[in-house]
Amino acid sequence: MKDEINKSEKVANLQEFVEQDFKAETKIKIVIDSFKQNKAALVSFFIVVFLIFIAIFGRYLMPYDPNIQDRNVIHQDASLSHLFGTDEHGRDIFSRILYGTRTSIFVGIIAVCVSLFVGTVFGSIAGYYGGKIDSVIMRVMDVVLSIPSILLAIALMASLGKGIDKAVLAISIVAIPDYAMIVRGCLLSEKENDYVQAAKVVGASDSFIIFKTILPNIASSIVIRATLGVSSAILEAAALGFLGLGVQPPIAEWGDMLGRSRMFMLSYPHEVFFPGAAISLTVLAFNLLGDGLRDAFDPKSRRL
Amino acid sequence: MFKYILKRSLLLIPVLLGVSFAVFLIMRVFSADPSVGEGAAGKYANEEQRQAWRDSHGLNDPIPKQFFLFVKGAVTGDLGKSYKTKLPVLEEILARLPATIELAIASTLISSVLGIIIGVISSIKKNTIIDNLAMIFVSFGISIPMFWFAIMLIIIFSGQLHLFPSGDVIDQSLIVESITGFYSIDTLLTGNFEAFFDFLRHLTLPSIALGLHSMAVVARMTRSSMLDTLNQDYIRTARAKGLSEKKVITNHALRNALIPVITIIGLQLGGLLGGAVLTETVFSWPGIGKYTVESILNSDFPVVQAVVLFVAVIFVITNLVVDVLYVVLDPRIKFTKKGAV
Amino acid sequence: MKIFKKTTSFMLSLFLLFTVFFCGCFNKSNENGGTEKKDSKSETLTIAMTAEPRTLNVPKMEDSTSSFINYNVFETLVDYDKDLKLRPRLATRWAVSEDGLVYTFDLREGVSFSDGTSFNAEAVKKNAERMLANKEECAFCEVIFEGLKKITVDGEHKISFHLDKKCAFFVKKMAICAFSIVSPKSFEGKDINDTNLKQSGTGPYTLAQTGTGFVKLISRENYWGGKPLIKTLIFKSMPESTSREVALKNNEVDIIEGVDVNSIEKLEKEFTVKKTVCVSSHYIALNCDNIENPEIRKAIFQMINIPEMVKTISKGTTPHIKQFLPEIIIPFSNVIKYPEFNLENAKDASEAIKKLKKELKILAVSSSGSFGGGRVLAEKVQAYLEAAGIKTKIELVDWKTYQTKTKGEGRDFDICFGGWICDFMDPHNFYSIFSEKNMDLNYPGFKNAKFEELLEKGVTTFDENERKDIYSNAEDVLATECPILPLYSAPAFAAFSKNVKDFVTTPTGSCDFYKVSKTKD
Repeated sequence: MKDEINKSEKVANLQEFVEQDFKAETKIKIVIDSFKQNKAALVSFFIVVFLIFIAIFGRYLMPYDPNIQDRNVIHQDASLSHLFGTDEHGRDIFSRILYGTRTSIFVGIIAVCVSLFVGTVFGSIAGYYGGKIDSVIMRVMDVVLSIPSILLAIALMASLGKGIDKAVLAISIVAIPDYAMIVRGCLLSEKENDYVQAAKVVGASDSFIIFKTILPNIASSIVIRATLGVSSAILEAAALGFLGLGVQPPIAEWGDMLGRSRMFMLSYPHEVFFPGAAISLTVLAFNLLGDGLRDAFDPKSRRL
Repeated sequence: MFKYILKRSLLLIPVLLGVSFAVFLIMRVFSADPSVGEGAAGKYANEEQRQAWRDSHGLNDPIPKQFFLFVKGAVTGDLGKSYKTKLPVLEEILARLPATIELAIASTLISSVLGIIIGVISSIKKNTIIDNLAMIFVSFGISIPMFWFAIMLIIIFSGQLHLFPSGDVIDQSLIVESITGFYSIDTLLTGNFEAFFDFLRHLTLPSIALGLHSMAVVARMTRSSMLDTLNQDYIRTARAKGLSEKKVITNHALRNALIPVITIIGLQLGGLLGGAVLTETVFSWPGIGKYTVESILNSDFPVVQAVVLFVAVIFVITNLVVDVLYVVLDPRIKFTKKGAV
Repeated sequence: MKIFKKTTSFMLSLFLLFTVFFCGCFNKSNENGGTEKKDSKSETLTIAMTAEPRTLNVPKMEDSTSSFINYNVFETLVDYDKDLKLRPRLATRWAVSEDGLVYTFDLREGVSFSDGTSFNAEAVKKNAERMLANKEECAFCEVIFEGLKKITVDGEHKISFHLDKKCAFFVKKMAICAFSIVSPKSFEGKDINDTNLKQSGTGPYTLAQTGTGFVKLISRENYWGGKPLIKTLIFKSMPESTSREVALKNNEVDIIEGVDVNSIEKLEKEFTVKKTVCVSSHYIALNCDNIENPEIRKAIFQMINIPEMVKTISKGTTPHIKQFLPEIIIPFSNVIKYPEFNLENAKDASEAIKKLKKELKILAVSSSGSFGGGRVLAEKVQAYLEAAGIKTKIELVDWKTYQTKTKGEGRDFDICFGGWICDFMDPHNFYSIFSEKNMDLNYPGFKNAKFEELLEKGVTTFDENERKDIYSNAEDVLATECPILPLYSAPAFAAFSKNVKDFVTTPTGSCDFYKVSKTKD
């Protein structure tokens, strides 16, 4: 008798256990698990979090004001009082790099958000309505894609003028087609599905359908693309800053610091090394994060 | 086959028109007034004289007319005159184009060859230290800003080791003749070997800097493509037949694995043209990349307009060539529906 | 199969290419000891310049790079020695008539152009006429020949210039490089813009070859001043200071100009670094239209610590200047001082300034100039003003935009920076840039009746002491009205290999290369 009760208990527990397990095996958990297994991705995730933390709270961590000029310590090498040395005005490079994190991360994220939003809108319209609108929008996207991104960004800056806000605009414009294509592709394939037809019959509005069909299916692609997009945006912002087209002095920005110190590169290599290393590390972190997400979401690529 | 090429070529036209319009819009409509400080009246001009200058340069005409003239000019080869040097822009571009082409070719060669080698080796030695090192290298290669890498190269190889010069294309005093405009060809044609080697010395660092990113992408693509291929059935058959591993790789796997790699190399060209802008600036390489940056910083708008259009045209045509090449190499594509676009 | 074979052969040829290339590399670096050159190394001198010469066509010249090169090919009537006194060159003596309207020059005899024709008074006259006939093309025509009535050839080697107004510095103007004497045979009947023009001069070198960014000169054995010690001069333009330094270290060039102050210490270990004083004045200018009150201008200047600023940016190599006119021309002893650093009045002043304008705009040229360029100056001034409580905004533009934003009605700045390298070594040339008649160069837009009066007087006064008084008064006006604040006189640093001898530059920046020699090392 006891055995039987135990057995039925066990069976009941087993059932519960199986159900639980089944529920747990939702997509997200699979993703997170495989992500956790990818060491590089995990590390990069923490680095990205760290960078965002610095972007927000960095100003409280800076040992010096990034714009204060100390004329007695110009062009100093890395030392205990100035971790990364000083620049031509005696400003502490470490503090300027911390401040620059804020500029770069914000530029990256904002640029991606803008291009994501605009790209999604265009892609949805093109994919959903098809026909002439699709052709027109696609041709416009082709035009943007047919000019190498950095060149286009620079050309846009030539007409928009200098300044970090215009740089963000230029970088966003350049990246719009990437998101538009993904969204359009998805909509094209989903458009003909039964549930879409059903929704239409019921009388759901177009935007409702679009959001209901986009979100589930391409959230993963978008997230991956956006993460990689942040790294491209940061690189492009640095390139623009390097050429003197981004922030205006005295604001600290990695690309601008690099471009400025270039003329001293043989005499004071530390001034060139640190900003570049900061850019590389940040871009690397976002790239690895994006790769990790891609591997986690896409089972096919996981085995490689 | 030809139909496909024809169809794709026709599709080019609206795209190129679109690019011209975009470029035109950016430069003419959004930019600052170019008549300030320009023209015969020059620095002393008052508003009347500036308007006269604008009239003579057709800047007061209605926008559609201006655009039409611009396109007409572009097609016939008249891309306007540089504000700075007053020379025809097309002439200026063509004078600098060979240098960029040579840099692009050298960089593509280095990045493709080295990238493929790295990719193949790491795919064969999968998950060993070599593979991991290679993949770390790839990650860095994609993330490092090209202009920073260029500067580091200069500091180490020019500044410390004195192996290479840090800028320019060649020691100009060594050159006697300029025939084609291509330094490599000209120096070889005139038998001026000293100049040829000097050119190669100047070419080394810029092409490595420019090729880093491509090398990483190619390596990664080659590796995954090789891994895909090596898992195919026919490879297993080849192994079963008793062929040595080396033969399996070189005779069977490599050929097929390289097909997508070639497309990637072609697609890298766009990034190359963009990266050339930065690399040429760092190395003072007298190509169109540096020219573009100079013109933008000098507010020389006809030049910027023309260069962007020029580069877009090259890019679009190159993509077309790569697509056609892809179809040629892999007949399967013709029969499957190509993706969006 | 075919593709594979192609791939292998392709790879093989690449490998060969790499090998050949690497051999070439090492070949080059061993060249100093190994291979022979056509000209032995001690007979060729290579100089790396900071810019490309804009035009080597003599009367059209206006930039210093072209003058530096052409100084060795063409000669002017007079020149300056190291103390800035006039010395004979193609003219041996000169005299001014009693009424101050006729300037007569005795020309050197026995001099010939490189094309064989003789140098004489006719040749000088023809050169002047050529310039006058092409006023729009020749930037210096107006400057040199202002007020010229006629030119008379008084003898084979005697020429007179007749002016309609006295000019105390007319003879000094004869030293301007653009009026170097070119053989008439080489330009007669040809348009001044003819690109195939082969001009011939009286100097120690002739133009052998030009190319993109390089100019090659070859010596003339029969130069009247003596046979040049160096046979071939090669001028290369390398705008990047890093490239110049690397080229010097790699033994590709012998002399480099435009050495960055930050590299001096390192370079001094292996090379000789020489400071050449350049007769110039760099200054901070305030827009007198926006900031009309001289007291406010004075207050702004008192917020900037000039000695400290100049010391920092020049790394101690250059002192700040206390007068706008370079001391080498006239050292004033008893002038009113410019506003000195003093933060006492800063608070009141900043209140007054804030009422005027919320934010002052600092305009500067972004490309590099001396000591890192306009950007460094702008950032320094910003920091000082910020410390005193004034908000500023920096606008960096390219040179062309800068010119439009600092002239006449287009003036769009509150603070900007200027640097004047004179055309001829006379106080008038310096002070006239702040004259009402010169709104083009008058960045601050300074308009002062007394100042104009003094300038006018200076032109027609010949007595040295009187002139000194006039110009010291002019300097006082500037110091009281404060349209500008003098910064420094930009020195030029040149570095060269230790085996180069007698490389000397005059204060005007020229070098007599025919006296330079190079020992074998």
